[in-house]
Amino acid sequence: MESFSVIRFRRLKEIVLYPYAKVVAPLLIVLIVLPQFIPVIYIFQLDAIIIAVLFAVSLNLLMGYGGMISFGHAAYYSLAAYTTALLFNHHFVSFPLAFAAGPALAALGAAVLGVFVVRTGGHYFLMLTLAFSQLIFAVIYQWYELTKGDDGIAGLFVQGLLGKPINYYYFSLIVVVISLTLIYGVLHSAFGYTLQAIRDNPARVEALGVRVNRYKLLAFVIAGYFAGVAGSLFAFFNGQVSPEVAYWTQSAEPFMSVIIGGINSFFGPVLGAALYQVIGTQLSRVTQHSLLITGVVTLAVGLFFPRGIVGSIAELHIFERGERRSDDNTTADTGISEG
Amino acid sequence: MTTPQPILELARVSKAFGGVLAVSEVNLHLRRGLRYALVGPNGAGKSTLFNLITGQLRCDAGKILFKAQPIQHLTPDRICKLGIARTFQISSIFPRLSALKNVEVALAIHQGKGASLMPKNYPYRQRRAIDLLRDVGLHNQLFRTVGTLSHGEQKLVELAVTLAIEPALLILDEPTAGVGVRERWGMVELIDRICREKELTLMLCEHDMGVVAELCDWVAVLHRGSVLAEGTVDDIKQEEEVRRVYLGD
Repeated sequence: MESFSVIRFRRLKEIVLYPYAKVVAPLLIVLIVLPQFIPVIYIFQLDAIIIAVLFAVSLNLLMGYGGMISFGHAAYYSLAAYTTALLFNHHFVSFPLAFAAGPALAALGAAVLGVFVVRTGGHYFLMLTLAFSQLIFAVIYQWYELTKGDDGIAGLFVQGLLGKPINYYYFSLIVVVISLTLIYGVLHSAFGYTLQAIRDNPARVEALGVRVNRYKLLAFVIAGYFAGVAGSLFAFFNGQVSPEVAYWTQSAEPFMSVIIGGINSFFGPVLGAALYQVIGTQLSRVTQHSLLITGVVTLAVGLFFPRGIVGSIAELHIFERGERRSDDNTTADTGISEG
Repeated sequence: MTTPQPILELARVSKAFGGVLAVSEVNLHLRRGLRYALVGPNGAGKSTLFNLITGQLRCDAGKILFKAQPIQHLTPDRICKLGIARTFQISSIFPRLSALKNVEVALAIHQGKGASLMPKNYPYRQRRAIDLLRDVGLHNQLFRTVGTLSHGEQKLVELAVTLAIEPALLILDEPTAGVGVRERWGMVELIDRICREKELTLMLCEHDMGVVAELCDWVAVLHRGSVLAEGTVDDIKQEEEVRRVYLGD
């Protein structure tokens, strides 16, 4: 009996940890080394991508793992961006403190809204989150005394070491990697699995003795927090914040990234966000119609890869091996990890 | 001789859905260790009664006592913590998680660690989960996504999940519904063995009188929300009225 269990544990370890290293480690090395050799404009782009990745992954915590389809994720992104910007510029709070305050307020905002929305589901959830984010947008847009309305807040530049784009990029990379690791950890904790269980079957989880809404609220707050981290990163990356960061198009960005990459896997939104950013920025250099191409790509993914790109690749793998097995959270995760 | 303390007691429990009485003044006594079957035609109120006991629905009137403690006003999670576990009529599992994770989640919740944010493997919990799955005969399917298992196997996973919370009273809503004939008797044997080993009180509803006769020692016939007859399986089979409404004679 003992040996039987031990064998299973070893197998679990092999499946879950080792294959990720094969994909993630080279990627990290590239992300660390590459900026030394590319023009500063590309460093900016890379920075924009990794911030978008964090934003998308934080949304996927809700969508993919919590089954809560939110269309208002910009609310927390912008709350953090503005909090950081205002504290830093108008109240002369030091950079680390201002940077830390952003996500905290985003989490608070998520907690306030979360109390109400976790009771709902499906379309109601989607509409309420959208409404809340538009509310935040309206406040930012119209409260001129505080937020400078349409003018936005400019001049967000860190003095010293982080003032150089490449150094800020490395700072972003560290923050994003730590955040993704934390999110990954949360998703593979007892809480993470319980959250997925709630997504699959709330009544069953309740019958096991859980207050389902509390768990959903916690997930909502965690997602809000990490959206806030992305927002704060963005504020200093961009040097200024304007009401657009709270507009619904900003919510659509991670939403599309999650859909394109694949809702059923951890790395789906990573790929999706990168792709979305590259299409958005690179193609707009060669054509005016980059949005058209974004639309076509999304449509194509929806039609031909309904589980997203990573989800579909994973499915192919499973198909080839002729079995379906899930050691971890989803088949998609295993698939990519063994790719 | 003193009669043992009842583990579950229903006193004049009623529930109406928009004017239709689904359950009407039902009285039941379950003593510890009893195997109790509810039978009755579709729509007789069996599942409604289960939902009332486990808190998915609120009673309109009446009292439900579990271990002499009123529970009719409690939410499902509280009732579960007191020691009543149930399965659902439509097998109710987490289709996108592996069999092992299905049970592990239930164990974590039962230990009050469901909200733990630490991504750790708990060898003890994993071993318990594997043991539970071995109990129901699924130790070869630990890593399979449960959604891809057969219907009968899904029912077994659900049973393992239910047992993870170490209940005193096990409520099974049609445990053999939709299960193939051969798998059915395996299921009956399994339930029999588990109840004996874990000294559970069992309450189930079932259409197959053969299954009921094999598993249970006390039967109540429910018809239009009220108890029509109660007795041992043999008694019930004798009753004229029961034959008329249920056995289709």
